[in-house]
Amino acid sequence: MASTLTIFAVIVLSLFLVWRMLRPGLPKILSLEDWETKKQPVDLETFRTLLAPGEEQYLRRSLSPSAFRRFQRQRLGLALRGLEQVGKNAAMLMRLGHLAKASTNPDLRREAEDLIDSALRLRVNLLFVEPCLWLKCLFPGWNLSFPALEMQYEELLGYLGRVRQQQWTLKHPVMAS
Amino acid sequence: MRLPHLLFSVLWLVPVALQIAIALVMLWRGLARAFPLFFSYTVLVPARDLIHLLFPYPGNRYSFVFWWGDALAILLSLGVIFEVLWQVFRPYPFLRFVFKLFWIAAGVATASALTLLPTGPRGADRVLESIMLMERSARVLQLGLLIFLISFMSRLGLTWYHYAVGVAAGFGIYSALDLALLEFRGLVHSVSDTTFALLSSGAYNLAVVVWASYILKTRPETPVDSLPSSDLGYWNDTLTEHMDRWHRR
Repeated sequence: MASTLTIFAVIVLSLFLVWRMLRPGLPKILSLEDWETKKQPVDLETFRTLLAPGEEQYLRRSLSPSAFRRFQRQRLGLALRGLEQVGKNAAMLMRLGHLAKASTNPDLRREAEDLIDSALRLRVNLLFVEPCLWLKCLFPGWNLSFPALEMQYEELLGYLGRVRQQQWTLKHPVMAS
Repeated sequence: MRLPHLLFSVLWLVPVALQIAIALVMLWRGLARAFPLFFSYTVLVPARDLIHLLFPYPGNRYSFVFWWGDALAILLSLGVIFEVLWQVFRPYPFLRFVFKLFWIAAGVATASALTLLPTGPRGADRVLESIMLMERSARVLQLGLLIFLISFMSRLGLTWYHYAVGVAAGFGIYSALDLALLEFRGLVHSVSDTTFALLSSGAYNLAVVVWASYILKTRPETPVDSLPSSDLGYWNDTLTEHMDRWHRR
């Protein structure tokens, strides 16, 4: 009986995921104009302020514990909404990059690959950041730390460093030599 | 012609015709090179169905072709999942962690599938029940891998790989519905074998329609001639900075 129930849970989950993948979730992007009209404006500075540790400490000191939890949840909710929009923007830019890759201009193709790469990196970062923000939303008073992510994160930072170095070398070949 | 017979004929003919068309279009567009296992699967299944016409039913040769064809089709459909994973994630070396996670998911799904096997056949037709148990285990493995693949494709926004999406979605629908029918067949004894055969065929038809809608449809894409400036780099820096801060706390 347990195996049957597990199997039915797996079936429902997979059908749900297929439905989510097939439904038109993102606006259609076929040109640069589409992107300009459909992009979601998200302010990076506001996002940084919402997650600034100094602000959090200040609120923790100034408000009662229950008021702090309520206010912190609102701030994190806004940050999550911002990240959702940024994720959508990244997916639309990926699509645009994919269209640009079909161009005959090699410079544009290289630019498109960089754009897809950046957008994909952002989506990978969101994969880690969003669940953490959800956890913080559930437990606003909790000081979060992620020992399990250490290895992957160090690898990611190392990789980003190497990529930046490569990009710099490509852009400044004379100085690099 | 009686209704079930007519339905069987339609449900038999539609996927055969569509899959032949899919195979031809894949050859025409060079997709057979990108998805060799899916192409083999697309050729194998209608070929097996057409070979069946040559043998009398029921008969040893018919059963031989049916069961070996079925086993081969399941193996190919498992291979297709790896093929889609490879096609979608290979261009990005920093996504190698997805491959690592996929092997872990494959290990978990295989373990779950194997736990279903020792139950053992108990009914009168032990050979048939053994085959069905093995098919059920293979489908559980397939679904486990598909869940992993589809959720990663969706989360990373890689759904613009439309052929890969179509292939994965078709297998997802068919495997889920077929597994549901296999389970119901073991639980509900009042429904006839003919009904189950019709429903299973219907599930396969649905998957073939999904594949056809993705592969046969032409999507004229005009390449864009310039790209916008984006602040993705700043967002990446901000997010890594936050991850760093949380991690060091």
